Amino acid sequence: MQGFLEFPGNNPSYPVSCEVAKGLYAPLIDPEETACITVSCNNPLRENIITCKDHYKEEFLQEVNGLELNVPLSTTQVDLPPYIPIVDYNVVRDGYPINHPVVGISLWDILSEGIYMKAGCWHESKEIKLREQLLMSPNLKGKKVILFNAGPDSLIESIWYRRNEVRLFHKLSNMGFAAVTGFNFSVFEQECAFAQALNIKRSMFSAHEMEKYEISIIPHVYAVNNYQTMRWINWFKKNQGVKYFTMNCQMQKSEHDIAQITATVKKILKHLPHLHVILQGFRIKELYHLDNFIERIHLADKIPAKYAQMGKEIIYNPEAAYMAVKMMSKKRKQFLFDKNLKSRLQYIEAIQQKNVIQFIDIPNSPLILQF
Amino acid sequence: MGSGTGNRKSNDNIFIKRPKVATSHIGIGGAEGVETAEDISICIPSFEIKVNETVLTQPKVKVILQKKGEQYILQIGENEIGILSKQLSKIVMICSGMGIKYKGEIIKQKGGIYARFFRVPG
Repeated sequence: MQGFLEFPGNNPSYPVSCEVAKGLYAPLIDPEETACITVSCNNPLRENIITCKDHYKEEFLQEVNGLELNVPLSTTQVDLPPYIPIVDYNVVRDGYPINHPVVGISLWDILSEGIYMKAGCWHESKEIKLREQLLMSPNLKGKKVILFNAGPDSLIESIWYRRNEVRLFHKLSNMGFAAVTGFNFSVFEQECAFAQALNIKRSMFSAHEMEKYEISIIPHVYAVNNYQTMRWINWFKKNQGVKYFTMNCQMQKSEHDIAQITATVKKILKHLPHLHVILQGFRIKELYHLDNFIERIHLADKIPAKYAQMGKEIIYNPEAAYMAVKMMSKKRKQFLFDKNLKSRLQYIEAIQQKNVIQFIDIPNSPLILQF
Repeated sequence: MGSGTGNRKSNDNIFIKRPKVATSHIGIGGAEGVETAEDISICIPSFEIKVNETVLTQPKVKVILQKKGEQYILQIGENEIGILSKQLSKIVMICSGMGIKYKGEIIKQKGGIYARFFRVPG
C-alpha cells in the first residue's frame, strides 16, 4: 500500500466493503486508498461525511463536477509575510492595536450567527449572518486581511449548504479580503475513501466558485496518502499561477499526523519550487521537520490573541533564542496582544534566519516554555 | 474541521443535507425520500435536563429514556429521575422513527446536575 505510515485497522472488512476497493472510481481514486479504513462506510444519516454507500452520492458529485481535480484557479494576488497572526472578533471589536500588515481571520469570527454551542454540542443557527462591515474597523484599515474558511464541520457544512441562500460569495467579495482560502472540508484517513476524495474536491470547488466573484483565492490542501498528494501536485502543475496553498493543522497533534503533514508539504514543495504554504495552527516546535523549506513556509495562528485573552504573556529572548510564556499577567489585554505578536514575530524571523538552534527549557521557573 | 487519523470531536456532529442545487426534494441519505431536511433538523444534536442531586445522579452515570404515554421518563436503571417536556418528548419520538436515538449521561455543571443527551444513529 502507498500510505505514508502504517495504520492498523480495527476491522479488516471495512476496506473491502468500501466501493472504492472494487475499482469503481479508478483512476480518480485508487483501490489501495481504502487500506487505512477502520470506520464503516455505512452512514445512512450522512453524519459528517458522504460515503460510497450514500443513496444520493451522485448529487454530491454533480454539485462539484465529479471527483476529478479539474477546476482551474488563477494567480493568487497577494504577497505574504512569514507570519500571519489570526485575530478574533474580540480583537477587532475592542480595537486592539494590530502592528502587522497582514492578518488572518476565521470564518467563525466574521459571522454574528452561524452555529452556537449548547448542551455540549455545536448546533446550527436558524440564520447565517455576516459581519459585513468588519473590515472597516479602524484597527483593520489598510491591512491585508486573509479569510481562513476553517472551523467545525457543523459550521463548514452548514454554511456551504446555505451559501447561495445567504449570497455568501457575493458578500465575501464585497467585504474586501486580500485573499480567501478554500473551505476546510474534513479528510480522515480511517474513513471512506470516496468521502475523502469528495471532500478534497469540494474544497477545491469551493475555491473555484469563490474565484468567480473576483475573490483572490488560496486553495486549501489536505492529503492523507501519496495518491492524493500526487493528484494535488498534478493539479498545481497545471495551475502555475497559484503561488500559495494552505493547510489547517490545528487538529493534528499525534506523531503520525505531524509526519503526514510534513511528508505532504515536503513532497508538494519539492515538486513545485514556486509554491509557498501557509500552515494554520502548526506547532512551532515541529518546524524542524520542514527545515529545508523554511523560506517557503508561512505560519498563521491565533496564539497572540488567544493568549492575550487568557492573560498569558509571550516573552522572546533573542540572546538565548527561546520563547516562554508568563502566566496570569496583570497587563491589559491590548498590551498583551501587541507584546505576544511582537515576540512571536521575532521568534519566527529568528527561525527563518536559522538563529534558533534549539528550544531551551527553564526548570523551576515561573516562565513556562512555549511549545 | 481536520484531517489525519485523530478521532472526530464528539461535539461536532452534523447530518449533511442533499445539495440544494441538485434537487427540489431536500432529503437525507438512507431510505429514498423518507426524510426531508426539515424533518431531520428537528433532531437537535443535544439537549440537557436539570435533575435533582441524589446518590444516583453522579457524573458519567448513564441515563435512559423510557416512553410512558405521550412523554419520556428519564431513568437510571429502574429509577425515575425526571421527565422530558412534551415538546422534547415529541422530538425524541419523531427522531426515533427516523433511526436517531438519544444517549444520555449525568454531568455536573456550575448550575447543578443535568442529564445531557446526544443524538446517535439508532
